[in-house]
Amino acid sequence: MNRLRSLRWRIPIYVLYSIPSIVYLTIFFYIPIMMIIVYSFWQGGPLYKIVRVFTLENYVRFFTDELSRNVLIWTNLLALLIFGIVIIIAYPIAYFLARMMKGETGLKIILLILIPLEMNYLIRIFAWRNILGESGLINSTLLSLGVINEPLTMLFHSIYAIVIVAIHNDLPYAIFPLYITLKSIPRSLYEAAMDLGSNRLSVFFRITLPLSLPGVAIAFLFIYIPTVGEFAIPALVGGKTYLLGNLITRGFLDIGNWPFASAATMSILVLTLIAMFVVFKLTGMRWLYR
Amino acid sequence: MEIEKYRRYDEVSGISFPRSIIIVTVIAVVVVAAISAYAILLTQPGKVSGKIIAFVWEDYTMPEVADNFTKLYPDIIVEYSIFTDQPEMFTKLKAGFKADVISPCVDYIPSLVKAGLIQPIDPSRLKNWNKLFKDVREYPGIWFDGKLYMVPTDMGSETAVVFRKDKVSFIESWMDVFKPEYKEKILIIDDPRLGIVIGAFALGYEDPWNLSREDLEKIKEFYRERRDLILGFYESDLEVRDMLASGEAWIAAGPSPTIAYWLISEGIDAGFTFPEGKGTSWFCGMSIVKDAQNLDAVYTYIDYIISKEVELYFAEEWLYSPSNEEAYMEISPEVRGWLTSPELFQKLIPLTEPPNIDEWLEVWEEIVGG
Repeated sequence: MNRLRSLRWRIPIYVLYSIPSIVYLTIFFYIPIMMIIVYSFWQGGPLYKIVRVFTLENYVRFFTDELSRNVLIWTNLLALLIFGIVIIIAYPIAYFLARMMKGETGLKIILLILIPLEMNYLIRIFAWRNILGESGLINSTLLSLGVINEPLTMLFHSIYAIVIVAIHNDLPYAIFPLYITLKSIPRSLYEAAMDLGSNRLSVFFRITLPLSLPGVAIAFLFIYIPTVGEFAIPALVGGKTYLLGNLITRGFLDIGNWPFASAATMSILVLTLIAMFVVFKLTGMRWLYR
Repeated sequence: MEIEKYRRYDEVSGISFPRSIIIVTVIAVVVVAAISAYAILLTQPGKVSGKIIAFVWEDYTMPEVADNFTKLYPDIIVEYSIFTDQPEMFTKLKAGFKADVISPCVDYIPSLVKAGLIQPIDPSRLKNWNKLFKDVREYPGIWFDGKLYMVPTDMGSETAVVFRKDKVSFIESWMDVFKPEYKEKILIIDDPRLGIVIGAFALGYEDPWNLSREDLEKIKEFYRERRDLILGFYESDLEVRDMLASGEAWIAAGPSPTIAYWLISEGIDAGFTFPEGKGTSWFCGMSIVKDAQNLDAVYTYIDYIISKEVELYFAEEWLYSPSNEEAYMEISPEVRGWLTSPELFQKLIPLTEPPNIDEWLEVWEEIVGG
């Protein structure tokens, strides 16, 4: 009895605290991931045909099939484009809030920028339908101002709509990490550079930009990776646009070819992890992959 | 002594907990037990109760149907899960999706029975069974080895072309749907079978359910050549109705004439046609999933769905021809004119599952993916 008691006394409390999260992650994350990995190496076909025999066929098909290969390339390019545009828009905003605003004002404005994220993701996408549609806000305004005679159709049910909606959704995820990194650059560095004869442009490219790259890397993590797997935005505003997320959801739900859909999922996971490590290495965040 | 006390709480576990945690735990247990006891007392013996999962078309979740059931049977909780096409329903069930009652169409009954996903139904447990048309009750496709597997609820037509009359001149052939002047105003149903059948109609195939791989490739090519004309592939009736109503789309290939009826009711100049007299018919109902637990509640739900009131609602609002004879007799003459007549039902091609459905699914994915 005494021995038992002494054993129990030796369990550190942090182990006890970590049990719920370990159990949760194991059941809802690690086990499903393991199942997806296993499925991806089984033979399969439409309508839930699964033969529990090891094969690499699903991966070979994913990288060689014309449809999935094109979708893979196209989705990655689109995700990079969205990430690039978001950074171009977010950087000046974050810079202004971090370097130009005094005191806590910048942080207060950041909180205002984050408020839309409290709204349901799907509702935000649906709201764009009312803005971009043929009788939506943009077309109505342009028509009433006489700028256009016919409603612009390219704004909705198109790739442009996906880019616009994705940028709106992703902007806070770029502004916030950029603000943090820009805010944390010591003012003394700027003063020292100026004392040594640097002009504003030189200070930006030699101090501000390099030191803010970790913020860019975090924004990449928050934007590029979810965009590669995005399926709600293309489905709701993208018209016939077909991205990787759609290929996977349709593979699981409509076609029922789980092994192929699992292989596609794992391929994306690996590719995004590689992309993430490359970006982190380039931006100097070595501690993450050490 | 103080140090020992904190060490006990902060560094070790299992033996002692602060008094406040114990008190809160005891209160929580008492409250949960009291609520459970109260719930048990509320449940009257002999009354059908409990929860069931209905895996159904979106129509069954309409407040007129779902909320009314809750009013009539407050002790039965129906949790709805929606599917947008039958392959999705079949795939999910095969993958282990838990449901008690589903709403398949007759073309999927053989697959569901063969896969062991549904169980025989005892019609004597349905009060409204004998109120269904005799021909409907005896329809061969719902019986297997003398056992009933689907309670027929309604029938109708689909794969029509619904269009805005103010934007589109009358459509005579299936090829007319894909005219260049309708660029990016055309919607196609996102359903592997109906989508391919539309392509087959346009290319002049007489028997669209018997298509070889070569035929399917031709249909794929047909869609690829016209991809720029297509606005999108729609999934639900509500989606296509909204897009036609807003003017974002002018033509929809694949829906039922109900969409035109809805649009006209909203004051929009719309029409429908089955170009060249070609379209498909459907015949759907309710089936019980193999592992359904609460059979009393499931039978109560199915009996409610085939009741006169519900059937009349679907006839009047959704233009589904009812299985219930009493409901049919009460349909207003104006609406009856919109329903799929027996003559039209005979003329249209019954919805079925092609023998090479695997190839259909793959080809359709390539069509949608572009």
